[in-house]
Amino acid sequence: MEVSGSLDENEYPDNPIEVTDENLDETVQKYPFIAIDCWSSWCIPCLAIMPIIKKLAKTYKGKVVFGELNIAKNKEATTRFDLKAIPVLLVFKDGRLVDRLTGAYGRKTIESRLKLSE
Amino acid sequence: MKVLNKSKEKLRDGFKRYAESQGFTFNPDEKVVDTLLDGMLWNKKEYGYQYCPCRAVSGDKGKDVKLVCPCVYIHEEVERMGRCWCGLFVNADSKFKETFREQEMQEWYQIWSNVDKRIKS
Repeated sequence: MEVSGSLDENEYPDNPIEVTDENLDETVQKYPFIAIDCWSSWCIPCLAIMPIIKKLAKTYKGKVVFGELNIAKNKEATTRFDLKAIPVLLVFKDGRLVDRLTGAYGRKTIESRLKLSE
Repeated sequence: MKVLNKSKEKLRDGFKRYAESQGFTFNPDEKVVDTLLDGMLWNKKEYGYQYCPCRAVSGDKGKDVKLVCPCVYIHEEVERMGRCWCGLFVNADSKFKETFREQEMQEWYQIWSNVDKRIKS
């Protein structure tokens, strides 16, 4: 799936973008396909998957955007998406939450779940 | 800092005794243990209780009580995954790496070396 809409391809980030309570709605509307990694500073599994998310953001620039949301700082999103154990990857398509992946999974699992291939 | 270190050691000793009584052991990676203990102390300062750093605190103490480490999920998770969700406690009977059944989880363990870069940044 290629991103579409009014943005040029170079406007799509190749690094995870910071998502907050304030910009969440705007961000999921802006990008047709975005996966938001919900994490916190002291959570080891969260820290472990961050390098994978970063690599995926580079590899799939133009196909999917990755975001990072710190749950310790963004309580509203935590409640809204009923987040319990982290990390959680929230997947949005066209502004709608379509999937969630809870746990520290490897690159292959994330690619497969997001139906990504190089 | 001295007070924090003292609290951390107290927490570590308490968990060590708990782990032994349950047939668990601490994660062999000391940095992992250290980071998780820091997270619990942060939660204690922020919320009043040593909640698991890998779970979202709702603010409703009645609901959140099950997230206080050692949390209510610990036995089921150690049995199923060979470790608790955050990886503080692991099954004492098997080697940590061998407890991951899926290939993805093996990959996950391999990238734990990357954790260093993010810890306390």
